[in-house]
Amino acid sequence: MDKIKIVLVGQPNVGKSSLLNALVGPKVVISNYPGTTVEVTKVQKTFDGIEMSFLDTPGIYSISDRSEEEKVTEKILFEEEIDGVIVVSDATALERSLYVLLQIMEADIPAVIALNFVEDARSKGIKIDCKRLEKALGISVIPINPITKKGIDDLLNSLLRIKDKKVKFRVEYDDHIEEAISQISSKLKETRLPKRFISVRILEGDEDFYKYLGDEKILDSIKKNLSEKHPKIDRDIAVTRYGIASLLAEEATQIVHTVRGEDIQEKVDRLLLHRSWGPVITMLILVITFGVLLYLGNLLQSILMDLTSNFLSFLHITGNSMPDIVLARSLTGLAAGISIALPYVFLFYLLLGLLEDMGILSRFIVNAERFFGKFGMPGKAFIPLALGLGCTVPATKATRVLSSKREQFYVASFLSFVPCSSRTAIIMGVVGFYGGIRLAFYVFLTLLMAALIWAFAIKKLYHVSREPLLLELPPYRKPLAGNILAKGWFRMKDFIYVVIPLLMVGGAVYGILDAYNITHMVVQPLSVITSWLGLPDVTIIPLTFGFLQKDLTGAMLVSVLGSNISSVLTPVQIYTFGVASAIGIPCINAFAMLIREFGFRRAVSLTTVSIGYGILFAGLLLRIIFIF
Amino acid sequence: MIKKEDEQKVAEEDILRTLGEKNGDASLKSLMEEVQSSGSAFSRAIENIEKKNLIRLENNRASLTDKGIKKADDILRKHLVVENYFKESRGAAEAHSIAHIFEHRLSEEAIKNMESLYNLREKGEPLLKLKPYEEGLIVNIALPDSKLFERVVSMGIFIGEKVTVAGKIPGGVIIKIKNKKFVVDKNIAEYIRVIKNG
Repeated sequence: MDKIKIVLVGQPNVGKSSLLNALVGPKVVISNYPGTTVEVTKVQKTFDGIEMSFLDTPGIYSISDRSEEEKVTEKILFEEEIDGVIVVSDATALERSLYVLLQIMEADIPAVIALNFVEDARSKGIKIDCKRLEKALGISVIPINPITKKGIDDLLNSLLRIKDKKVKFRVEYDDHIEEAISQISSKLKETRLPKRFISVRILEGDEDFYKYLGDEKILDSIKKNLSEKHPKIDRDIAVTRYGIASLLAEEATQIVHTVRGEDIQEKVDRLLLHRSWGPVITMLILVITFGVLLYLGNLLQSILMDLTSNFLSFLHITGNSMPDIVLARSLTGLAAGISIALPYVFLFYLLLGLLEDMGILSRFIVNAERFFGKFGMPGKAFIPLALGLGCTVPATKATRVLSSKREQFYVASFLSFVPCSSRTAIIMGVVGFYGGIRLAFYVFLTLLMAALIWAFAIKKLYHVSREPLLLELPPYRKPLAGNILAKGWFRMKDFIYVVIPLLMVGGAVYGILDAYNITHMVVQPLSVITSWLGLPDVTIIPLTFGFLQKDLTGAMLVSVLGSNISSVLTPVQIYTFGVASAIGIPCINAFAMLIREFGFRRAVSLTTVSIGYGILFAGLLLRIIFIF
Repeated sequence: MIKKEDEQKVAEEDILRTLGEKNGDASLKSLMEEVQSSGSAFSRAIENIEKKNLIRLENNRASLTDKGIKKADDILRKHLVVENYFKESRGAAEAHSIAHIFEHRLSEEAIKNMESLYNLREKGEPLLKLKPYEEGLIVNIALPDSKLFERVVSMGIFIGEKVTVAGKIPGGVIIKIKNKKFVVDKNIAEYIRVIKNG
C-alpha cells in the first residue's frame, strides 16, 4: 500500500488539533514523539487505499531555531522524509500564515493551505479569494471548517496528489542578498535540501545549517561584503518575506464591510484584562476550582480507601505474611494514585484544556503576570504552580509551558513550597489535629515565607535570563469536547503509566522494609537532623519515609510515637515537624518526574538542595522562636 | 477606501494640514476645494475644529490658532511618514505602484527607500509611551536580536501597522493590531517605535 507522510503546521490556536480530529475521526491514536520535550502527535488514516500519517506540530509563527517549539518543527520539516505540508491558516490574519508557508516553500516542500475561520472572517467583513491565492502561489487553497467537516474531503483529495506537486513560487530578495545566496550556494555540499534554501537559512543565522558549509570563513567574508548595504541581513530577509506575505494576503483579501463598535469579545476583555477586576476574577475561578477539586479528591480518597480495606478483609488478608503485606501496600498505593489522578490530574487537565480552548487561559496568564512579574517569575508559571496544589508530579511536567529549560527548572524549584494535596493532608492531619488549626495556618504561612526567601536567594545565585514575554491573546471561542478530552488524556497518560506503578512499588517496598524492621537502621546516623530540628530521634522515620509515600507520614508518626502525640511533642515540635515535612521535593514520584524532565544530575541536586533548605529553614526558625 | 466614521476626522485633519501648508490662513472656499470632502462633512469639520480652538473664523476665512499650528505640524509630519511608508515600502494603499519592489528584485532605488524608512525611526517614540486606548502607527522595530525580530514580525506586529494599546501590565503592554491581541514585554515594546495618531 502507498504511504504518504503529511505535517500540519500553523500558529498557536489556528485549529490544527481540531483539523486533525476532523481528518482522522474520533479514533485518534496519539503518541508522544521521541526525544522532544514538546508535544507532537502522530496519527494515521487510510484514505482511498493510501496510508496517510499526519504529524501535528506545536504552534509557531515562523520556522527559526529560537524556541523549543520552533526547533522541533524545524527538525520534522527539514530533517525527516515528508511528502507534504498542510499550512493551517487563519482567514482573519492571512499574512501571518503565509509567512510560514513561504518559509516552507523555500525548502521545495509541497504544501496546501487549509483556510480555517472563514465564517469568522466573513462576519468581520473579510472575504478571501481562494482562486486568486491559488493562482498566485501555485498551490491548493481549501476553505475548511473542522466542526462541520466542510472541505475535509477536498483537503484529503488534494493530499493524494501532493507528492507530484512542484513548488513554483519563490521569494526573491534584492540583488545583494541574491548575490550572497548564490555565493554561498556554490560552496555548499550536496544534500537532499535545495541549496538556495540552505543559503537563506545560513544568512538568517540558523546555526543548524552551518554544517552544510565546507568552510565557515566564507560566511564571514560574504557577510562583510554585504555589511555596507545590509548591516542586518537576517532582518532584511524577514522583512522581505513578510512584505511578500502581506502583499499576497492583501491581493487575495477583500474587505466587504467594516464592523462598527465594540463586539462581545472586546467587552469580555475589558473585564478580564481589567487592572483590578481581571486578577480578582482569575483568583476567584482558581479558588473555586481548587475547592471543588480538593473536595472531590478527599471524597474519592476516603471512598477508595474504604473499598481497599473492605476488599482486603474480604480476601482475608491480615498483613502478617510477606505476600499479604506486598499486596495490601500496593493496593493502598493504587487507591492513593487513583484518588490523586482522577480529580487533580484528569479533572484539572480537562478544566485547563477547557480554559485554554476558550481563550480564557491566556488572559489568566496576563493577570498572573501582574502579580508574579514582581518576583521576576513569568506569568505562565502560574499553571504549574496552581497544579502543584493538587500533585507535584503533573505540576513538574506542566513546567513545559515555559519557554526555556532554565526557566522550567527555576519554576520547578518553587514546587518545593507549594503544598500538594498529600502535604496539605499532613499539615491538616498532623499539625492541625494535634496542635490546633492555628498552628497549621502558621505552617502554611511559613511555606510562603520560605518561598519568598528562596525567590530572593535564587535571584542572586541562579541567573534566569527571562525570555521576554510575547504572547498572543486568542479570541474567545466555543470549545470542542473531543479536543479537550484528547488533550486531557494526552497530558495525564504519564501519570497513569509512571506515577501509579511507582506509588504501588513504593508502598510495597515500604511494607517490606517495615516488616523486617529495617526502617530503624536509619535512625542512628540521621540523628544529626532530628537534633537540629529539636525532635525525638525516631521522628526521622516518618520524615524519611514520607519521601517514599507522603500519605504514610501521619500514620508512621503515630506508629513511632504512639497515638497520644500531643503529650509527647510540644506545640513547637509539632510545628517544626510540619514545616520540615512540607518543604522540599515531596516524594519519590516527584523525584522521578524531575529526572524525566531535567535529567538525573539536576534532579538530585534540586532534591538535595530543597530538602536541605527545608530542614535548615525549620531549624533556624526554631532557634529564632526560642530567642523570643 | 475611507470608512464612513473616519470621514469627518479625515476632513478635519486635511483642513488643518492644508492650512498649515498655506502658512496658516486661507479662505473657506479654497479650503473646501482642496480638501475634497462632501459639503456637510466639511462644514461639520470646520465647526468642530473651531470648537476645539484650533482655528479662528473671520470673514469667510480660516486661520490657525497657536494650538492649531502645533496640531497642523503634527498632522503634516504624520502625513509625510504615512505617505513615505506606504508609497515606498509596503504599498498597502498603492499596492500596484509598489508591487514591483517585491515581485521583482529590489532595485537600488528601493534599497534607498528602505534606508529612508529606517531613518524615520528617530521620529517615533517607544510604544510604551502610548496610553491605554491610544492609537499609533508603527514606524520602526529596532530590536537588536534578529531572531526575536523575526518572531515579532511573523506574529503580524509590523512596520506600517496601526496599533492600539488595550492595557498595561507591570512587565509590558497589551496591544491590538488588526483585531489580534498581544501581550508584549516592555523589553520588546521599548524597541517598537510609533507615531501617535490623533
